[in-house]
Amino acid sequence: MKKISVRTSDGQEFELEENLAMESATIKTSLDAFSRDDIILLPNVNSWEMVKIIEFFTKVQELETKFGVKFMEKKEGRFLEAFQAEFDKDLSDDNLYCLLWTVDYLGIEVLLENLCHLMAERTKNKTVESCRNLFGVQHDYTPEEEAEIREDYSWAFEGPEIEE
Amino acid sequence: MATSEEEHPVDNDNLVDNDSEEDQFDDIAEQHIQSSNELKVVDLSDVVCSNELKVVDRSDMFGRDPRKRTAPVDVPSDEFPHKRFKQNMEIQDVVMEHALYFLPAKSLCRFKTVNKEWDQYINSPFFAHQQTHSFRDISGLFCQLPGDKPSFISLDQDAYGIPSPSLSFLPQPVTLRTACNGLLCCQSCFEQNSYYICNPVNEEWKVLPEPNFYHGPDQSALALAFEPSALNFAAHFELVCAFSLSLTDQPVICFEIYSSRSRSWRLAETVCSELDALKLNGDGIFLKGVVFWETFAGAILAFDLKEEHYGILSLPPNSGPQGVLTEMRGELCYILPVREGNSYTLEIHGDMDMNLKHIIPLNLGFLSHTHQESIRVLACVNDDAVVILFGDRVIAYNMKARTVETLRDIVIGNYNGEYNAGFAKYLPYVNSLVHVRSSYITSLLSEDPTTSYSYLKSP
Repeated sequence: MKKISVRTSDGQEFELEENLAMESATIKTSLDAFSRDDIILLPNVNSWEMVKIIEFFTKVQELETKFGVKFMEKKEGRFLEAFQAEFDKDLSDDNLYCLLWTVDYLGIEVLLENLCHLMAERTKNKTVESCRNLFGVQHDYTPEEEAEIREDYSWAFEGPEIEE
Repeated sequence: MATSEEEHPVDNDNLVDNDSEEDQFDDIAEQHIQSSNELKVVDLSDVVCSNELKVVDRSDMFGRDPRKRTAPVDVPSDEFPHKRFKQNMEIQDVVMEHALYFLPAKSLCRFKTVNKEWDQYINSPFFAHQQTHSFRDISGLFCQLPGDKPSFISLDQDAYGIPSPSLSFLPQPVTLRTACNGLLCCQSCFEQNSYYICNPVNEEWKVLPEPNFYHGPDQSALALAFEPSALNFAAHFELVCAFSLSLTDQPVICFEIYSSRSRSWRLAETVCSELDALKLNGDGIFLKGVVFWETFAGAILAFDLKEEHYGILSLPPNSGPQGVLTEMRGELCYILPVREGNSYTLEIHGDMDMNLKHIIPLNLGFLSHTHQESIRVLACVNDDAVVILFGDRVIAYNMKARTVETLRDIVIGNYNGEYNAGFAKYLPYVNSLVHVRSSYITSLLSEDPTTSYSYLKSP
């Protein structure tokens, strides 16, 4: 099978199998326009991200062979907890965050959804403050405005981890 | 916690001025392409082998906090002819556009106070629609003992919850009947013919018109069919009632269906006269276009909503009130607890014949008492966990990790260990933002549903 060469922002080159490369809408678009012999530059993708993405595809292929199901084609619903747990354990919040952006940039739908599930899993128990910190969001409520919303949704602020 | 913000301060001026950023990027890209031979190749083994992947030097292109990393506005156009980039798209936009939909309602209501943009976004009808479609986790169980008010047992008290577990926002006291994907169906305690459909998160409700037939309390069973889909923007659902009718001297089961589209009840042509089905045992569940009800005669009555055909499946021979018909990994299954002395196992039955598929040991640890506790399986939740009523506790048992978590210590009400009139109802519930009121929906549909930021006006 034809290999597609990509180069990440830090100069690292990777060879991807064509069918895997085509899972990225962004890469596919540029392949449609140019020869497959060219190296595709990915200035927004770091090499560690590329490693993770390849890891994902490799795992999916493994599981597809093992279970005889085309996971890529399903493209919906909850995914492979097996690989999800692996992904989860060595990705810090910041790294997950960056990877999410990159996968969105590359247009790899199936991985994006999985990462979103992961992100949501990590975020759902957070307090408002830690949520702001994680996503670097500007706090723009006045104390009065915030107090008003908190009163309307006081039930949402009750819980063992989140009581402030 | 040291954040990378300290190492790479965000240069806000640079972010605002698009042109200079464009030029800056072009220059960098140029240099990068020309000097790539001189760049040191990152040794991947350093990156991959460490237990936690560190954020490798992010100053490669932008020299900024990774959370504020922006997409280049204009990449050399011959490389990417069909640009997917948005101007200054920051990481939090990606999160907002993709990840927030997978959060449960309680977390989302809390996150309305993150900032005003999040508040607007979460309040938009399009967001509620997307979240209803994307978030499907069972968040807890509604519980009601006969004669008591409803209550809610959350699977995660920080993430899943509702403002009023007793459903006091409804105009009358109600009996819980059935639930599906964020919608609850209840029946008025005073008026047998009044069914309410509500969402306990936003406290929206509507009362259905009276059915055309009498659904006798002992001879009828409901099932709510609501399948959120990308296209089902108005959250259409159907409520099916299987009820017994004596036409001649031969009682039959008829199916009366309420459709939220037509806002009316209709009797299906199909009629079931199989003896096995005739004693319906409680309200049913909806799965992949079919509703399923247990019967007392060791059978399951199935009704396909599209074809309007019925079918009969068999329950396992040792089924009983301690077992439950539930969904696991997208398939219908029947879970039965089995006690042998002081140890317990779970039998999982599945497929069309409800064959025994798995036997899972229940490691209840300190909960196993010397005297026999009654045990009842309430539901399978989120593929790996089973909620069990064990004595007077509601516990969540993770079948993979073999761990036990107590969700509620004492079942409020008349617990006497016997399966009689004190038998409580438990309904698995999804913490979704689904909108119920049709007039509300139509007024919002006049706005462009694809605009993510269309502002929600309070009804």
